[in-house]
Amino acid sequence: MPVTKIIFKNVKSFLLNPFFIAFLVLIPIFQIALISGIINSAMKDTSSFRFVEIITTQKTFNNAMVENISIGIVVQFILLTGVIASSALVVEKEKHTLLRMYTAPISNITIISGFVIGNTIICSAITSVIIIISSLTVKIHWGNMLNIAIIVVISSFLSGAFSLFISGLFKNSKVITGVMSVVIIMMTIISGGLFPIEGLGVLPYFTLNKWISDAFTNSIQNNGLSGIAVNLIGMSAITLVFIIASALIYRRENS
Amino acid sequence: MNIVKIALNVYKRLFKDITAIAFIIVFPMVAAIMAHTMLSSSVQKIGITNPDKDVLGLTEFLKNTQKYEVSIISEDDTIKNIDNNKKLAILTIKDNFNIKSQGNQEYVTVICKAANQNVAELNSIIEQYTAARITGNIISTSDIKTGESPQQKPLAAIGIFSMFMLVFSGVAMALLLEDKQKKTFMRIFSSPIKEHEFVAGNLIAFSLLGMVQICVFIFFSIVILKMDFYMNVFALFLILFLFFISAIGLAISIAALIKDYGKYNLVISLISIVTSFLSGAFFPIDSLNKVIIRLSDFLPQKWLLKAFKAFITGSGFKDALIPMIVLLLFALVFFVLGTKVLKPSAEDL
Repeated sequence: MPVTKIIFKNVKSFLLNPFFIAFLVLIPIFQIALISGIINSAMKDTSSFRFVEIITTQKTFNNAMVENISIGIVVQFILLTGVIASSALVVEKEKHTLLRMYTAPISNITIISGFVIGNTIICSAITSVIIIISSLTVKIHWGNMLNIAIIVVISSFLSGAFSLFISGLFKNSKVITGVMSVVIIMMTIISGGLFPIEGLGVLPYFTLNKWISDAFTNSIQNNGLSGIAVNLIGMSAITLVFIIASALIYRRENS
Repeated sequence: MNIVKIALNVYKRLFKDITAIAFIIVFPMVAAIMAHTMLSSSVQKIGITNPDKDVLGLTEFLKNTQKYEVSIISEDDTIKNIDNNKKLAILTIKDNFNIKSQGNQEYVTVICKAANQNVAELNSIIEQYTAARITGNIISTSDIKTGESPQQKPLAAIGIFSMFMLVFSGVAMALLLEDKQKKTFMRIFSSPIKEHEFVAGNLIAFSLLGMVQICVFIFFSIVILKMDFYMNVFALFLILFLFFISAIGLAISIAALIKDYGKYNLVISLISIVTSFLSGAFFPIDSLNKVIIRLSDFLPQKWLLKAFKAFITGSGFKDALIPMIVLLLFALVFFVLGTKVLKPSAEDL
């Protein structure tokens, strides 16, 4: 199976660098721990009121904010790891091995899927580790783990597809990863993933982060599989569009 | 002459794809727009179920702050309004409130969906107002301390832009990594080019691009978006440029550790986000663990913000001088650490 071989090759090349893997796991966990510390410290002074009784319909006073930002960090991480897929494909393109692949009887979709699935496996595995560690150490409540696993896999798939699509738009490989990083950071800020923002209307819904974040939020609120179904369908549809667009961009004649 | 040729070669390679210009020109504009749009204060909608019991005149006061649009709603609609995000919070004045209790009794119940900064600010305003009224003091909207300062918007703008500058310096360094990977280093050093010429050529090229980015950011923020940075434009340019130089240095030293330029950019992006948090660009970090605060002293962004704060609080150049020198020192230290990357090792030959 050619697709299995492409997946295996990508996963194998990623596993060759254990320091890089450790870095990818530790940085988001550190970020979550940091933001949890910042919010808890900041709220310590404001949570004891004399004249105001606070009732929250969903969460205790501080938890919701920590969870929201933690979701934002994880979603941003998932999208950023898509760079791994795009850089793998760019390397193949620059070494002209992509051209050689096209000479074999393999369809564009198979090649693209191989890279995206490889990225999905890598990204899902790292994200799962981050979620488990943050749940144990920073006590983030992520909700039903089965739901979370489904969201992680679909969002990782989306991340890989998005990354390939963006990388197909640029010829300069060094600029690709930079542009992707900036675009993802911008989407994260607009979706409220780095710090709480309001007043942007429907704009956050034009970011990938918002769709993925909503799925995580619904899962945390124990809304069940039916509660995240709309988000999952939306994410899957967007992924499909990116895959088809990438297959068109990475046509034989464009390589 | 070699320096100029090397610098021109950098531009030729960087701009072989015209879309790279977007990276240099458009993103600084976007950073300014984002900071401007997101930090513009919007009017929050809140509801009150029993305004007739508001003996302290809290409802009127909240309206006068011009931060809140207050409407009367029935008690039965409370949860619906909260869960559908129609209202930030619903207030209910306590039935048995007695003004003579002298602060031993709660005045109002605030029902909200979950905590966020806006809810915290609303609660803080109610708390300050009620405390003043109970003790018989008159309080005006200007007396309220919300923790929000007019400088918050430019501070966040600088924080966001510094993130982008770090990512850009990563892109610049990726070119050098490519040279190393593709053995161009070996070829360059076998030609009659001095090591310092090669380094200077690259640095001049990237510094000029950094200057362009900073100019675009400042022009767009000040002239188009009419943002006030509360400081001299040239001083703003200077601290941003010093930060950019140290960011390039940081990028070089990271390049010494990561060999693959695809992964390198991912690492730079993650580092730029974490360092923005740690430096206090988005949240105040004063209340954090002392070890973390000490750790943040080793980040260029922290010193950029320190220099910026020194200018906007009116302390001026004198107080900003040390942070600016620290930024320069950062650049020097990182360069020393990173020179390894610019020297071809045995495996590069």
